[in-house]
Amino acid sequence: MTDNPLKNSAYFDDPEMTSLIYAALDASSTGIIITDNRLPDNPIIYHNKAFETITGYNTTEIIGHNCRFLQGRDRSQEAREQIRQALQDGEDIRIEIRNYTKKNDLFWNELYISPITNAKGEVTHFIGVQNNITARKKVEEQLVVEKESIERKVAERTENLRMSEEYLNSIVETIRESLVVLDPNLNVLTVNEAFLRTFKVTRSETIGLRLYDLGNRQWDIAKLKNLLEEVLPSSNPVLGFEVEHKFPHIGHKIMMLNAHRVELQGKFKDRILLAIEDVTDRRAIEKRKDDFLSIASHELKTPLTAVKGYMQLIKRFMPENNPKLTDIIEKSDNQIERLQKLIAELLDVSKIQSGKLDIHHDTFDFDKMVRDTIENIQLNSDSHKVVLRGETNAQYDGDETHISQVVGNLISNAIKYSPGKDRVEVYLSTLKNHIKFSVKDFGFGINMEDQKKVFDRFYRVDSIQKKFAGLGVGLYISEQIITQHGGTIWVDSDAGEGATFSFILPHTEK
Amino acid sequence: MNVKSNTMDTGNKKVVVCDDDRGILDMLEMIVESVGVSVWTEVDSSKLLLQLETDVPKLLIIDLWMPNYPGDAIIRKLRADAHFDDLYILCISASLNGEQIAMEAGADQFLAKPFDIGQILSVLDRVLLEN
Repeated sequence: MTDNPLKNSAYFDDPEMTSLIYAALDASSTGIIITDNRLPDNPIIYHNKAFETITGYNTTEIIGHNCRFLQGRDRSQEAREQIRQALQDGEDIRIEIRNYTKKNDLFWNELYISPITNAKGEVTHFIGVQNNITARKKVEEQLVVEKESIERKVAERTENLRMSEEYLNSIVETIRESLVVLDPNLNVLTVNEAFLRTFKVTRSETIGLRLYDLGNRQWDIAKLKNLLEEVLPSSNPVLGFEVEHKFPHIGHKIMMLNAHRVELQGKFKDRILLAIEDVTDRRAIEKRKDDFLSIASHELKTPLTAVKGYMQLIKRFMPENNPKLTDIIEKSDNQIERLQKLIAELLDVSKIQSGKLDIHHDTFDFDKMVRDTIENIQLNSDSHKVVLRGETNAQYDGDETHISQVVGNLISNAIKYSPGKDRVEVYLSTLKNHIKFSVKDFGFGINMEDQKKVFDRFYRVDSIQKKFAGLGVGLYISEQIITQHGGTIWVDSDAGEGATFSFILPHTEK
Repeated sequence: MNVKSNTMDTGNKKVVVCDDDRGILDMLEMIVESVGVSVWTEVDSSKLLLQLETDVPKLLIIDLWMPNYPGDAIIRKLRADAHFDDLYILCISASLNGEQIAMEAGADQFLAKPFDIGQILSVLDRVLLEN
């Protein structure tokens, strides 16, 4: 810096102006100090208010000291060496340096040092201007950290993408399903290994051909064609389309086709992914299972039919007034009835398992169905009175036989699991767009843990396992029936306080 | 005639029962006989048609699943023959889709096993009283 312009100004001798300049210096938020280079160790001879505020030191701790106290023990900074060099050379310097407040808190100081020279060119003073740039420094550091982190993330993503691609490729290649990618004109773009293995063909006799021209034109089916041609315009996938055909090389097979639009933009836009699964064996196993079911049903029911008939014949031919024999026959009848129910339940479970539980839809009087079911139960059970409350007045559209089976099952359970009580209560009601059926018993109830499981197949509550007979499938079947009607079934119970089983079915009165 | 009376109609065989299961066959025979109607049983379905040719009954009670000659095939054959136009065919079966098969083949009625003998008796009543 050259000579202080103030030095020669007319204001310099004006005491009012001098005090104004001091006031201006004190009003600044920038710390300002002046050191006297002519004195040993270049001590501070002036500081403004902001310098105190920034450093936390007071005047007596500042005046007369060399500035180095600001670096605390952090002496080995490179910035210090640069400052020393500048001071020695009598040059301006702007530098960022780590300083410490009196409380030893680090702050970043953006320091300007200007030497003041006298007429002889000797440096007599230095003016130090300090700005606390800790906040800016922090932001800068954060920016650096964030930049690094972003770069790292980009690198990771790129690597991930590369790995995903490899991963996807390995999936595509190891998957057992045959995959074919088609362009909008249904030309084959690519196929995976499974496709080549399954159909015993090579890539060269596959890629580039129209799907319908493959093999012995096995896919040239009008219905399939229509569906595939709709995949791109409508985004409607083709699902579970089965083709039974005598294929070249591999013979008679049943193939299941699924086709989806590839939901990507850009390069891979407008492609159809066709997945082909050989379901020949699965269908054969399903057929064997179905056959077994029919046979089992037939074989179990045949002797039952004979026994039932003979028992009824005995009743017909029985001499009158034989209470002992009447009692025996009645008991036998009940056992036959039980056996018949058990066989029916087992068949129901098997049918549910194979998705063959047929739900027929007919409109029926829901309340009458419940009344009839109750009446039927009361014929065989006089231990409990079944009290019916409420009504739905619904002409319900569903499978009357199956819903009645659920109602009967729930009421029979309520009776069965509340021995020693004399009543169960049935409630009918309508909710918004639903009808509700509930049956409440006053038995020993079901604890929380078991409540979740009672609808599981073959599940039986431990504590009742040995006391009550049953396969543990009644509620499972009931849930399946209700679910297939779009409804839900559940139980509310406190152990020891009875249980309430309820189901709701969607219903809108027409 | 009053089928509930115990007078045996020994001349014309009114009812024929065909089932490959002896137990069912005997049971049905006893049921029909219990109301005093003459009945003839056949356990081997392949011999049934020949027997029916010679002597047309009023009612045929027939099972579906039988070795040699399945019930639905027999029903189809009978329904294609004007000779049996007046024959009432009651099909009994424990098959899961028995009713559909029986009715498609041309049976007049279907009862799922296990049935109540009351159901058989009411068919007897209805069919045999018609004439």
